[in-house]
Amino acid sequence: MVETGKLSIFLAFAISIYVVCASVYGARTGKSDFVKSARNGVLAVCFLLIIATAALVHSLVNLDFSLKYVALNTSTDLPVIYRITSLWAGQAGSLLLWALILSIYSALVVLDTRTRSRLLMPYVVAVLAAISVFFTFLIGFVENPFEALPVAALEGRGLNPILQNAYMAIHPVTLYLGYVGVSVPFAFGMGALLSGQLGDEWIKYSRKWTLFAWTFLGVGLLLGARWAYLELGWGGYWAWDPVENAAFMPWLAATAFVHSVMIQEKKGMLKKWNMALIILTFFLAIFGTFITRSGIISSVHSFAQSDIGPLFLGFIAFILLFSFAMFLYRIRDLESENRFDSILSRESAFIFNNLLFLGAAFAVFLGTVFPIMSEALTGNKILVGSPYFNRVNVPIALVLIFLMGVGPLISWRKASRENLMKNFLVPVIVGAATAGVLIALGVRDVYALLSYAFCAFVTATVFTEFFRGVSVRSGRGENPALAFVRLVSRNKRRYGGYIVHIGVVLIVIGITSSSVFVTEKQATLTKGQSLELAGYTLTFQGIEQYTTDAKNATVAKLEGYKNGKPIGPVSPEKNVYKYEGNREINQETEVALRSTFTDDLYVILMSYGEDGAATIRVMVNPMVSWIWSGGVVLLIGAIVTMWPGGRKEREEVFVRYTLHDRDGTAKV
Amino acid sequence: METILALAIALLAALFISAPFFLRRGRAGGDEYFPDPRAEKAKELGSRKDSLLTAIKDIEFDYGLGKLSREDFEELHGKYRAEAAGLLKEIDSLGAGGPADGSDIEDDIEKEIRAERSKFAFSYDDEELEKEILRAREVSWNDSPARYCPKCGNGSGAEDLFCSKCGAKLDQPTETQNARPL
Repeated sequence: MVETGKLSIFLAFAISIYVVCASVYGARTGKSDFVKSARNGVLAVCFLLIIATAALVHSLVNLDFSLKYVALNTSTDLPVIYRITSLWAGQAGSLLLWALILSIYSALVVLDTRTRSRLLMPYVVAVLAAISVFFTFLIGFVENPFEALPVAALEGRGLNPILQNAYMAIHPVTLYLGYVGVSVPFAFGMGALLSGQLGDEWIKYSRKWTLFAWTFLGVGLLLGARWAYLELGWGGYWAWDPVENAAFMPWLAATAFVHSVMIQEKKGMLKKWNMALIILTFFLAIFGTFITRSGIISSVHSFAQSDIGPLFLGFIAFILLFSFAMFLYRIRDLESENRFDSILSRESAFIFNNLLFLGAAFAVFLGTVFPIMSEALTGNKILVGSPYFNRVNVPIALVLIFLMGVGPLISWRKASRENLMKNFLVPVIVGAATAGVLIALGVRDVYALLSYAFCAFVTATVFTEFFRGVSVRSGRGENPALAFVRLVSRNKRRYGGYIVHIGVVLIVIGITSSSVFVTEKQATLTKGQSLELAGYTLTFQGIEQYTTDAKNATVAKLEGYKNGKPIGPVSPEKNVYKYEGNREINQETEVALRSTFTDDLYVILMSYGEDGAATIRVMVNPMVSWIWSGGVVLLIGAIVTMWPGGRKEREEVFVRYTLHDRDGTAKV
Repeated sequence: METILALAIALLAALFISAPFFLRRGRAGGDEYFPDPRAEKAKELGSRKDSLLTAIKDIEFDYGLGKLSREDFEELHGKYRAEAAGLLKEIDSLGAGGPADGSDIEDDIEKEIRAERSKFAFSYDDEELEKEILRAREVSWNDSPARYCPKCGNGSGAEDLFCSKCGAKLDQPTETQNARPL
């Protein structure tokens, strides 16, 4: 299998080069055989990379320690599921996964456009293949996952224990699906620039694919946050770590794009802006991969370090130069078809939205690269911490939440006072009332008050929208439940979008509550002593130790009570792993977590003494579970938005009635 | 054994990629894979024309709802119409459909706009509901229709100047029109 895998990667590299050349040559000379051959080439690359990946997974599962990658990332005691997930635990495997996902997406694009967009597609295919050339080059010649060891190892180093977690098994794949997904809209944008087909086609495909990538990036970020919360044991879920930022930046840019693309669809405006945005999003996605994989900024993710950095930098420079050269070359074809008629309009709400998202992305970018730049310029690495990121991004986020309520309801072109009054009077009252109640309850934090008030405002706008739609439909004799389902299914994009907004509101409420109202306490307890915090009481029962094949664990046994009622045992652990490869983290913390709708009890065993005393840190994080449930709502909304069908049905209705019109029989 | 498998895979890939060249021999005639660039250009102009017409229709709709002042309406309407006229000229000069000579551009626009309006009125189900939802945004949601169109019976708001369904001009509300039709 190893030889087959190796050969498949080399072939995929060679064919990718061929696809770039054949596709461009065929399009320029009008020789369709070359274009068709190139399209087959894309499918062949996908097939080959599936074989290569299968070969590597086969080696990982069967623990073929003659391969360096297998020896570095697995061990005999590793369960089969984590042998499979170690495909993306190391550098070479991750890059193979990147190339594989790209090839699958490319194949889907080719299959999706068999009979369509023939002037545009050859260039799109060429751009996708060019990206594939870079990644198959990396896995073929720089970081080959099939590289053999001079002498086969007897035992592997094992998988880093903090990666042995269900969330870690799916979080990287989800993020990669997002990162790589951004390549597709970029390829369509570049294809449009190269072919001069700058009409609606590329926008239509790009919007679809960006939404797809955006969903995976967003869900991947949340899964990563959840993993950090459960596994890293410091009590939080987001630390503005460079690798977190790496995924957050393209997500921000993609969010801007999925909004502003609507203006191009509906109004033929912002063409330059959208093109620049999609280039920027792809740049940030590649830059994110670069930060994650090169280890250039040391972080908790520094297990990904290697020396592919310069190649990545070269690739990034090439992308930027080439894209913006093409952009300038076609800039005259990207003129707007419409103008702004008023500052109080949906168009301008979208522009503000875009500027804020980009502002946030820029601020995060600056904070992320500042340590590298300061080190390069002065020799001292100046770290940028959470205070910077929070100070800049919290106000931006607040304005964005406010706009999230305004944008969907304000009129296109020009909002009249009437429009504003009728749509926003009730939501503004709801928002103000929320703030009033919270002030009465003693909340004094300005940011928290604004955040809750804006969230209430947005929720009110979304609910009145659903209410309106349902009452219009049920006014025609549909029962409300059916009316609701039909309403959503007839305009999935709009109502799916609203559901996504509700998901975001839940996440924002969770983030606000858990960061403003967190309480914590640390104490050293001897047997029988108790600790009290925010209605919880924890009574220490003693230290216990046990041993498994992989680790020696120490458990602090605690009995928990909430407001006097027992909530069962609470048992934070500290683990020491046995195998050499696992000793990088010799004291791994296993948090005891009790999560409810209102708050999370989060208990960490800090240390324990010979005398049987234990130092524990207890945190009560309010409403953290809202973040995760918000993520689920967001995913549901995104699925609704992307669910196929509907559009065609509408077109049929459209055609049918115009035909009737010609017959002169259709007056209903 | 594995070498044979690897070679077979390579051969398969090569065959698959070169297939379009071999299969071509059986085919006679020229290369019709790519669409005619003139037709593509016409399509693009057509889609721009559609978006302009939609804009004009939207403006009329908004004006009908009283969302736009008369001044704004006339300014925007004039602007978009002039642009549509330019586009129609361009489409004519391409020779891709449309009367080439003799007929007046202004007449064409009028015709197109009328067609666009009737499309809106006749693609009954979804478009109609959509419009009602849009109107519900403008009119406070606990208001029942203030009156009904004399032509088609569709409910409309008190401030509406035109029927949102059939486009008929609405009179000032009277007592009899306030009765709900069956």
